[in-house]
This record gives sequence, C-alpha cells and structure tokens, in this order.
Amino acid sequence: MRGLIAALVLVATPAWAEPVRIGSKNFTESYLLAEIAAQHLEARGIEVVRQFGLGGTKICFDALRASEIDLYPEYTGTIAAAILGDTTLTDVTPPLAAQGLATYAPPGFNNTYVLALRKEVAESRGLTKISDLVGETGIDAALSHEFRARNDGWPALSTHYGLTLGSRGIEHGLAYEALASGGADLTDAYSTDGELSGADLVLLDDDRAFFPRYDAVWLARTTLAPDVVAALAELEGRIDEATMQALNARAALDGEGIATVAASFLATTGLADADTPVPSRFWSRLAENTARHIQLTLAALLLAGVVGVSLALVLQPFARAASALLYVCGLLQTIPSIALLALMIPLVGIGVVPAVIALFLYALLPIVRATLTAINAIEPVYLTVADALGMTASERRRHVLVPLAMPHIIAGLRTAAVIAIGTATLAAFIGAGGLGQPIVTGLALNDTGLILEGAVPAALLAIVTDLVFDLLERRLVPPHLRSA
Amino acid sequence: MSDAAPTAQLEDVDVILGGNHILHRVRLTLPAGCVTAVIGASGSGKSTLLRLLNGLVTPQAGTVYRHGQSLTPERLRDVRRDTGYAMQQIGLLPHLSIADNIALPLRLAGRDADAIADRLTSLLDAMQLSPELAARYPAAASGGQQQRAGLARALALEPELLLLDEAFSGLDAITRLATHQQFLALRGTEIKSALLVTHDLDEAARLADRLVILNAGRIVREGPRDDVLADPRDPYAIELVEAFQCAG
Repeated sequence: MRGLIAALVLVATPAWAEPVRIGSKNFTESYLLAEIAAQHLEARGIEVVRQFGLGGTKICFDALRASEIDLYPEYTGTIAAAILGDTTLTDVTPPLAAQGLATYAPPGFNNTYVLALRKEVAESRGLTKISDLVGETGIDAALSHEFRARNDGWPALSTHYGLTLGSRGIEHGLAYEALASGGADLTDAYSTDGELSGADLVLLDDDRAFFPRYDAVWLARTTLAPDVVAALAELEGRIDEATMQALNARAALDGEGIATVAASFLATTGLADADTPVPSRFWSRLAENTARHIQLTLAALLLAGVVGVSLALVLQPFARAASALLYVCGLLQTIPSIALLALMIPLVGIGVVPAVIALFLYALLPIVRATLTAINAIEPVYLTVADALGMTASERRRHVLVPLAMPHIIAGLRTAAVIAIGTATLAAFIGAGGLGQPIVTGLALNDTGLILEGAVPAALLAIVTDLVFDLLERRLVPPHLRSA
Repeated sequence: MSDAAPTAQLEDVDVILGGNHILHRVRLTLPAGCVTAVIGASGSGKSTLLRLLNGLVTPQAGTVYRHGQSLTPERLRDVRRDTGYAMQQIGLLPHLSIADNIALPLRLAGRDADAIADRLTSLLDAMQLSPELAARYPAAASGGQQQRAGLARALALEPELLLLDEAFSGLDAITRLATHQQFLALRGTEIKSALLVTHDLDEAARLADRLVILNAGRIVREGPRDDVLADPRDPYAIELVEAFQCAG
C-alpha cells in the first residue's frame, strides 16, 4: 500500500535536482530562523524547499528522521529533554549520530524557558524569583500545552522547586493576551519572545537552576552537502538574544513579513547586499504549493477510484457485503480529518504518504456509494442480455456494468475530488505541503494575506477540477446518457 | 430435416419460480431446421419455457437437452453463444452504437477485426440497416430499426437455435409485417432452427412450421402447424383457433 502510494506520488513528481528541504515549527522564531537560513542558502546558489509550520517538536523530528526534511532550527535543551528523553545529557552528539543526525552552527543565542508573571501580581506579592512561588496560592497559571507535558516542563519544575500551584493549558500564542487582559497571572515563555520586550511582565529568576540551556542550533541529517554546511557556518554566532528578541518583535508585533525581517537581518550582517529588495517568491511558492496540492489529491483520487470502483463491483452481487462496505466507508467519513491525519503519524510517519492515505480514505465513500447505486439501478434487461450473450463475470463488468454506471461513477469521483481538494489543505499540519501550507503559516503568524494565498488557489482548483470532470464526462459518456 | 438430431429437447420439466408452479411436466422436442411457435396467454409460462433453452431459467425437475446432451452449468457459456436471443425489450446497450451492439457477440467470441467487419456488413445487409444508421446510438433509431438490430445481434454468431421472446410484439402493424417478411426471407440462411414465443396465433401461423399451445403451464396441443389449426383437440386450443379464424 505504502509502496503503491509512493509510486503514484513519484509518477506525479517532476524530476528536480535535489533541493535542501528546510523545516520549521509553527511559531514565529522557528519560522524566522528557517527563513533566514533559506534566504542565505539561496543567496549562495543553493536551491531550497520550505517545509515550514510543522505542528510541533515531534512532527519536526519525525520528519527529519524520515528524511522528509533535511534540517530545521531546534534548541539543545529540547533535543536532550523532549527528543532524547534525558535532561541530564550534556553532549547530544553521540545519540544523534546514531540516528544519522547532527547539530550544526549555533546561531548564538539561548532561548530558554522563563516564567512570566503579571507585574501587578509580582509587585503586590513581592515575587522576583521562582522559589518565591513556593507556598503561594491563588495565582492563575496558564501554561502552554507542550510545557505542561514535557519532561523538562511544569511537572519537573514543580518537583524541583516544591511548588504546589495548579495550572491549566492555553495556546502559547494567546497567553500574552490573557496576561495583558488579566485573564491569567503566570505563563511559560521563551526568553527571546518579542512580546516580552514591551509587556508589563516580570520574568521570575530561575534561582535554583532548573532550566537547561536552550541554545539554538540547526538539527540536520548528516547527509547535508558540504556547501550547505559551509553556508550555515557563515550564520554561526550572528544572532544574540537581544537581536532575536527584536526580530521576533518585528515579525509578531509589528506585522512585518517573515521574509522581510529575515532579509533585513541578513543585510545588517553584511551577508547580503542591503540594497537587495526582498525577493518575492510569491509565484514560485504558489506554483510549488499548487503542484503539491494537485499531486496529493490526484494520487488519492486515482487510488480511491481504482479501489472504490473495484470493491463496489466485486461486492455488489452480495447485498450484505455491499452494505457492510458502505457502512465502513461511511464510518471513515465521520472521523474528523485532522484526527485522521494525526492517527496516521504513528503508522506511517509524516509527510505525503499519510496525507495521501487519509485523503484516499475520505474519497472512498462518494465513489463506492455512486458505483453501488448506479449498478443497482441498471435496468434488468441489460443484465439479461449479458447472460444471454454468455458473458463471464469480468466481461459483464467491462461491457455492461461499468459503462452503464459510468455517469454516476464520474459524479462520485467529482464529489470525491472536491472533498479531497478541501481536505488536502489540512495535510500541511503533518508536513505534506500543498496549499494548506500558507494557510497554516498565516494562522500561526496571524497573516490574512498568507491565508488567502492558500485559500483562493484551493477554491480555484476546485472550480477547475469541476471543469475537468465535465470534459471527462464528455469523453467517456455519450450525450444521451449524461447526468445533467 | 426431421431425420437429424433434434436441436433441443425438454424432458418432464417442472419450473417453480417464487413459489409459483410455472411449468408442469413439459415434454417438447425442437426438430433441427424447424421454426416452432409457442402460443399462450400471458402468464401461461411460455417465456419461461423459452428461457430454459439458454439456461436463463433452471428447472426444478426434469432435463433440458441441447445438442443431445443435458444442459449443465459447465456447458452454459458455449450453449449461450450458440443460441441467439431476442426479446420485446430488445436491450441494445445504450452506450454502444448500433454497429457495436451487433458486433459485441463477435468481439466476445474473440473474432479478429476483419472478420468482425465482414460479418457486420452482411448482417446489416440482411437486416436492411444502413451503415449510417448503424453508426448511431440505439436511442436515435426507430423501434423497428432497433428490433432488427437486436435480431442482427442475436444472429451474429450464426447460432444453431434462435430464441424470439415476443420479439415483434412492440412494433406497429406495418413494421411488424415487414419484419415478419424479413424473418421468412432469412429462413434457411441466417435462421436455422428457431423457437418463438407469442400470444398472437396469427404471427405464429405465419412464421412457424410447428405450433405448441401452452395453457397454465401445461402443453395442451403440439404438432405441425396445419394439423394443429385443422384439429385443435383441446378445449383451450379450440377456443384459440376459433378466435384466430374469426379474425382472419
């Protein structure tokens, strides 16, 4: 199954030279670092593919291990605690090397966790360091979901300091607004967060040294080409904490585009010509995303067409088996798409393959239902003719059942195609790319333009697909048998 | 002609469909080279009798013989390809042109393209169908043209036995007469042995050598046409023949 999908995807993939695939997580700093690397590599004549906005540490790391991406920005503390599961590790190199991975060229800043407390609460209670929280009650701690779950997160911190404070989960992007509006008192933050610079917050001192260092590094496959490694080395030590915080603030607070902020940073370092305008990659990105989107939906649709029509044809004579098939397909349809995509990760990893499988499963119902309905509606006289002509079961399918069911099968495929085009936008969450990519990024960066960059072409694609099916019907179905 | 082995035989055949006893102990021989007509009211079981001969209906008791051998599931495919079948609803496949419909049995039999083209030409000629018409879809042809095309499809593989199930019933009187004449013209060439089922004794008398009168699932009179018409014997057969002679 997996091989077949890979083959289908390969068939639909134009042969390019091997570009460097850069990943990022779905928060501002990760996008920025990845974009800085991407622009710098491009300036050095290296072709890159941006796989930004992958949904979290696990998905990024799985993607790297599965060779879906070649590198992404990561933090040493996260590698030790969240990936390798050992907070005491001082040297992460040997365990990474065992997986064919390595870290490269630290950009030069430590983005550690900090606890940020509302200034009003801090001053009224006289709190300046984490140990001051011991014994405190009535402080509303709203923490990011990942921090509450990580080995090096809240549970271990509470044990380390002996805290008894309760906590609740919140999206990291919403935490600052919650604190600013008094909706929460305490949150976890990254020390380079742009929001920290202006807000009425007190950063509590980690006085008993709980948090390890979170030095930014490039986590990459050891197969990285020498020219890529050399280009990354040129970025080493260029970004200190204040710089990163300022860049984050420009992107997250001032609404400057990621590409613009990255380009202006590269210009200040002298690595890029200051006069060079930000290269607009709009069209190439659009083409790339659209091509991938078509690839995903086409592979899933071909697969679902062949499997769905065959299953329906084979099981149709057996009423019970046919209704069981319909039932299973209907059941698959009820699984929320984002959940189905997530369920695929432990089974087949991330990227194109799980996305195609999920899209394939969604496409089955309309195709199977249309085929079964159409065959059941065939006038008995044609079945009598097939018998009287001495047709075998396969001749009967080929000469009678499929051609007579064709208008309905095409209608089923058309429905499946439109569903697949819509659902495929969600595939970006598991790193499969496509037109969901700008949508996911736009959501993470609160950028309406980016969201439209995915949503508009996806809608156009659905319209074009509809026209393609019109043509298909015109070719395959004689005029008097067409559905509408 | 009657010396040759019979084309088909039914031996003490009973058919029960959906709990209804359709045919009772039917015995019938179709001599080679003969056209036999089965006449009866609707519901008398005449279509069921016809469908026994190409295995579309399986008897609950008794035996169907084709070519002197009983009709077993293994022989079904071969027997069906040696049996033309045309019916009132015709059943030309709507997605194929008339020519492709007629050629379908030839394609299924694996004939090569040249052989198919030759046979198609002679069938169209025999059925007086023009190549222009043959290029059309069935939906664009008249009822009579469709019926002739259905007959051409039934005859495509030069079957030993042709089965006609009310094949002319849906046609208007003029077209019907023309089709009858065509049928008679093809006897001995395209049409070898035939069994036709009709509720119309007039049609049966015009087309058949032998008549079989069926009443409520039983054969009540059977024999050469002129014998049966002259001496119907059975009360139902007498009634049927009298009605026919009044009309005639």
